[in-house]
Amino acid sequence: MDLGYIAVALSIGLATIGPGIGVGIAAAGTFSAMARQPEMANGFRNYMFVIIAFMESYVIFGLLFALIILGRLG
Amino acid sequence: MEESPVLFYIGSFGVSSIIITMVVITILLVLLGYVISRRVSIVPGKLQNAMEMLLGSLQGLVSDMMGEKLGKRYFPLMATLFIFIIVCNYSGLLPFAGEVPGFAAPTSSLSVTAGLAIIVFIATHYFGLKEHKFSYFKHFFKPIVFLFPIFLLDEFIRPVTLSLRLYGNIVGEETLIGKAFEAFPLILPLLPQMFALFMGFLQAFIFMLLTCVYIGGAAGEEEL
Repeated sequence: MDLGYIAVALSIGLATIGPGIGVGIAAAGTFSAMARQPEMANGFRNYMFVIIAFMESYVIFGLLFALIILGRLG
Repeated sequence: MEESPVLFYIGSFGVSSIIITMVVITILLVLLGYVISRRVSIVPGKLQNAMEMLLGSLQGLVSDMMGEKLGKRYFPLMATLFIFIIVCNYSGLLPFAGEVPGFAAPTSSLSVTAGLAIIVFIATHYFGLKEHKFSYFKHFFKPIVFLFPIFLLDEFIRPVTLSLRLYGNIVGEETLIGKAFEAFPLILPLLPQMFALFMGFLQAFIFMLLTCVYIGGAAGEEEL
């Protein structure tokens, strides 16, 4: 029973590690691109949001599994 | 993932507070559009000017993502999704949202976001079939034939992530605001509320951008 709650915490906690690093790398790349070509800044920003949204979906899978396990715990 | 409680029934159709809020938001938006478009003039008034600025910047964004021709054609769908989602997100920030029966942020329910994502899913394939006729199905088999199951899986995962992203973010920030109110109700809730203002805009924006990417990929000009 108690182990179930640990599983919930682990499934969302571990799922955030990789995308967190990935979002950092993507944002760093976008900012250096924006500094080099300020006239393209809007386009870079839009594409950055799309990429970040794709990375975020892995966190969302973790959240989904956390919610499913929480539902099983009752 | 509990559903909001049913308040009353119309026939066998249960009406919850989320449905009431959604209908009220829809009526308000339709009224706003009617009032502004009734007296359109060359020299715009204040309200017309504000709406023209909003729609103009949205149009520029959609055209950037999808190309000039497609952007113009599918702009109404994108603008509708963006405006509806952002108003729904911000309705959760009003006082007593979620506390009073008959008033709750619609996007904090998985049913609403899943409905929106299913609209996007159907629209993607409908527009793809409409633009490319039967050769639309060819792009599932390119570049290599046996990647087909993965492409098919990708198509069905898209609405799942689209709906869960919006739902998870809105529910997460509302829970955060609620906990902040419980902990220290004076100044502390301001921080998550400012965060929620930003995230509410960002989630509506991302929903629209991803719809642009999906529809642009399905209905795009390039050889499939």
